[in-house]
Amino acid sequence: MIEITINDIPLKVEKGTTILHAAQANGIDIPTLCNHEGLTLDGNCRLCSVEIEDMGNKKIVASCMFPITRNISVETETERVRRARNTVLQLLVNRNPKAPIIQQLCAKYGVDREERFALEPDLCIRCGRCVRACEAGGTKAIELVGRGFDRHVAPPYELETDACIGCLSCATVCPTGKITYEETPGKRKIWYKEFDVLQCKRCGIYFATKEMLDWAGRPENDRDHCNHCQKYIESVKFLTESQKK
Amino acid sequence: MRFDTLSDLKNYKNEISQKQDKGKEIWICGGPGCVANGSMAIAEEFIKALGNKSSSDENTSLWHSIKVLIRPEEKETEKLIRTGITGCMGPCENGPVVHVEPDGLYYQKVTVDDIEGIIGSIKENIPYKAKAMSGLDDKPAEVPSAENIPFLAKQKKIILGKMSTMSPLDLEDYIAHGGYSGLIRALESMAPEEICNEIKASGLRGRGGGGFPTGVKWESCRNSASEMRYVLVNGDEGDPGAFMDRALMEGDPYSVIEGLTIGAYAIGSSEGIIYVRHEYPLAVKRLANAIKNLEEAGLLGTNILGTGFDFHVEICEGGGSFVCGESTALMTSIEGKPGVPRVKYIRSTERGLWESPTVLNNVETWANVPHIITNGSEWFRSIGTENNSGTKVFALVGKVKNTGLVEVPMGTTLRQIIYDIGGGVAQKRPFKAVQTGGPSGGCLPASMLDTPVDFDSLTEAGSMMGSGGMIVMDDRTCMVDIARYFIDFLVEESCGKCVPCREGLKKMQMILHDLTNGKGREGDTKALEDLAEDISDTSLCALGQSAANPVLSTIKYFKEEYIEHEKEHFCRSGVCQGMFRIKIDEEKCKSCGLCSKNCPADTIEKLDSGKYCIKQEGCIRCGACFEVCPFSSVDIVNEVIDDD
Amino acid sequence: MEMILLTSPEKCIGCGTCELACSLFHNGECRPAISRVNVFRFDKGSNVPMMCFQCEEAACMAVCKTKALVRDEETGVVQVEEDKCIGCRMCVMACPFGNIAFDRVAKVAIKCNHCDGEPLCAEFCPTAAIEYVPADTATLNRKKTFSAKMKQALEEVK
Repeated sequence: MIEITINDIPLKVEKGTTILHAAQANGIDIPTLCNHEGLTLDGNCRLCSVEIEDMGNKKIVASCMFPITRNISVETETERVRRARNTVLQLLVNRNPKAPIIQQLCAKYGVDREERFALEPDLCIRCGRCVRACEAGGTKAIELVGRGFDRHVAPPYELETDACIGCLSCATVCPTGKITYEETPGKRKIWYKEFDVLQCKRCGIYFATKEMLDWAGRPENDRDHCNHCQKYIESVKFLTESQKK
Repeated sequence: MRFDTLSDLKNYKNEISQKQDKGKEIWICGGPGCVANGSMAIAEEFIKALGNKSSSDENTSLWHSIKVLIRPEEKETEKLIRTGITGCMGPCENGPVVHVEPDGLYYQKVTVDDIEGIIGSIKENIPYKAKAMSGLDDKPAEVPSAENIPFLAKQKKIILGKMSTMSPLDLEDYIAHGGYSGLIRALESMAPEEICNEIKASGLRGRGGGGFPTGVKWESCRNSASEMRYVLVNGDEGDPGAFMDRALMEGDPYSVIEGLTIGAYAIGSSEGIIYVRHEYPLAVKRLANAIKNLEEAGLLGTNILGTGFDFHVEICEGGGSFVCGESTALMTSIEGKPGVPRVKYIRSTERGLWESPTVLNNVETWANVPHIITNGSEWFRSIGTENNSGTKVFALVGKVKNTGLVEVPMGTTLRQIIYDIGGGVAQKRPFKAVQTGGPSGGCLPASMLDTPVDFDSLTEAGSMMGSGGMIVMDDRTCMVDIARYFIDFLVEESCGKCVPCREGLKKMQMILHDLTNGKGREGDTKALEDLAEDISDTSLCALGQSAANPVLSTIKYFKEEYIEHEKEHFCRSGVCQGMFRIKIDEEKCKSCGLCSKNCPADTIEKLDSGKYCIKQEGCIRCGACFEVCPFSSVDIVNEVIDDD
Repeated sequence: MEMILLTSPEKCIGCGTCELACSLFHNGECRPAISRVNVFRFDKGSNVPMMCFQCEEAACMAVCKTKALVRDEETGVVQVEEDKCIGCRMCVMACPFGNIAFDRVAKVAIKCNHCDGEPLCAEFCPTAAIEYVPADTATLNRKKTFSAKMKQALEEVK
């Protein structure tokens, strides 16, 4: 265990714990955007910046990725942290004024959009959570492409790709609602690709793409029902079994 | 040629060193500048003139025999003569350069017409005066050897030492010029730890710009527990105006690989990768040739020189992204992913390429290693200053008289480099600033010219060493526009991963574009400073953290220019369009009429007094008159001038 | 000691109280559609309450790439760590019993977690058709017999 302080509160943490986790475990609020507990760390939004004093050096670090390996003192609300955080939010709101999460954070920290530097409104904050989710699933259908200001998320060559299975996890983890998809009876469209969505033979709802079932290894002959109806079918078996007794 | 044991190689070196008469050599500079000026064709013609047929590829080791006069006996003797292409010799401004060995004579601006003369002079054993390189006072040197040529005399060429006198293709040449002495010493008499200690003792610091102590890096990698370790060469030189690493990889690839081999042995690695940017095809070709030759000679591969040490080297071509010069981005790029930096709270020496401990050094750092091991750390420390030992190679460019590749001991002042070696500002214009360190560096004014060039002094002055680009600027350079140029570059080259660099530089760019377009607003300079500080504080990688340096350093030293742009919408340097007016000073005007002849808008008229005057109505403020006036009578002013 | 939820269809009267209690506890609203436990009602008054079996070799856990599904080593219960769930629904695809679902509103996988040790379905069941009992030999035997049969049934389908 390593002794540290966060905002002068003495804490003991396991070696390797990130500052963010240590803070969260002790009820200290640090805002984050690109961080997602289920995904690999990336540290790109810089919103979780905190100031640390490490062997006499004071510096700003991304708390989501900084592993605690020795005695440090962490400050989450100094002037320098406030400036760093507000600058990040300022830059984001100039480009992403309509993202609800950005609006909420700006309201919380008192940041306004600058008309002079207002850019074409966009919802994507390039946090790459979608890309990392896709990578975590093993599908790797999308990637952050382009450089600098033009960086954006796309499947290869901005065309439909075999890699995408239409699981929608990219849309699920997107913090701003940028990733959308179309769903019509029997069809799902995302990343330029149209999927057939299988219909439950019992209740009739459209429940999954064939590609999702393939990816999860669901047997070919066991794909007729949605999970609820599957549960029903199991209950029939259960009933039969218990009546046999 | 194959060396299976250490003694094989040592015997071979002995043999070469005992060879008495080495014949004559005509070396034609194959640096990028000289090649652009036609040096390849000159080499071709030399070969023909000596009676050889041109070799299929790049010519090397073509020996021919000529009769040379021996003085003062005045008798003729048969000598072997050889001609070939070298790497960059340095005096790029005066290329194509031809160098005659062993006499050590340099000829400049050589054309095909000089070939006969040069060969004749070799036969006569006298210098060829017509194209002798400039000595003092810009006159051709009487004997154009390095010590008589200020550009060369004031340098200390260690890394670049061999480059003017050998073929970059020829392993024999490299060994004959002292190559592989370092590896011999390392393998024969030094334990890996000792090598790390020797490098540590030498005080060698990373030449890529950061200046991290190389030995410490090696030791930390050596101490990281792992089966696999990697040594990498960072050849992704991308700073505008910089070509030091290119010159080394093209001109002396063996020294880089020898250094890498010693490093691999020291840290316990068997895999080396040279990461070269795609835009350096010749460097790739030369390195590949070197690797092939070294493998054939048994100096790379398994069981090198019978010592049981295995080492393989591969080349990885980068896709041309500036940020791939950043260490973590470079590794991600080698791993086949987009070249984007990653957060490195854990050092690469613990977890680098493919999660294995990795030492990444710049091309020039590796090239230093064989010299240190051969000559010892004490020798190395005797060059340079206390915390900055050794030499540093610079690409001296911009508005300087003698542009080129220079190598000086650390601690040499900017003034010595720019004036003594570089010959001062081109066209004798006033010096305004020197930019060092590429886009991550900064601009230093005349008052800082006595700053010694070393890692610490430059950082303290608000610039940085960087990999060694040095751009000289005269009074016709607008410092706000220079900041805009670098920020434009960085906006283009930012990978876009983290918010401050991606969005922050864009905002900075918007302010700078406003300032240079006459739309500056009150408080812009302060806003730039604040934003610069925040971007440095919060960016993910070194590119972002140092991206604001060009802005911060220009504000630091040239604040008045920013204020003029911000408040008066005036550019004193006459660069930012529409932000200045041009006036002819009647007192200074000598009525030569050059301005009028060169005015594209035809708006300069002759007055009754014989003097010339610009009709403001038609003036497009291109500055052509300013450029051509031999009497500096054209002024840039910030006043409304009424046409009479 | 490990506890299990033991269901006895013969005792179930199909009142659905378990579903209401479950959805109310987990989602704050009485909505059987998002309940982790479901009662299936058949003719002749036969009713079957169904919820996750906390399989020993859980297909949902195996397929989860973000480790959002983890087994509590003490209780043996497979839990969804919601902040790790990325909504890929692979667990839903993989569960052969349909016992894990995806909540489209909360955008996370949902499954029975024994209400962290105090299962409300069992507590509110008026007829003890759902019982929260120690996993002793007797009950485990019953559960095992059932599991074996289920497995067999499943393999027949395959």
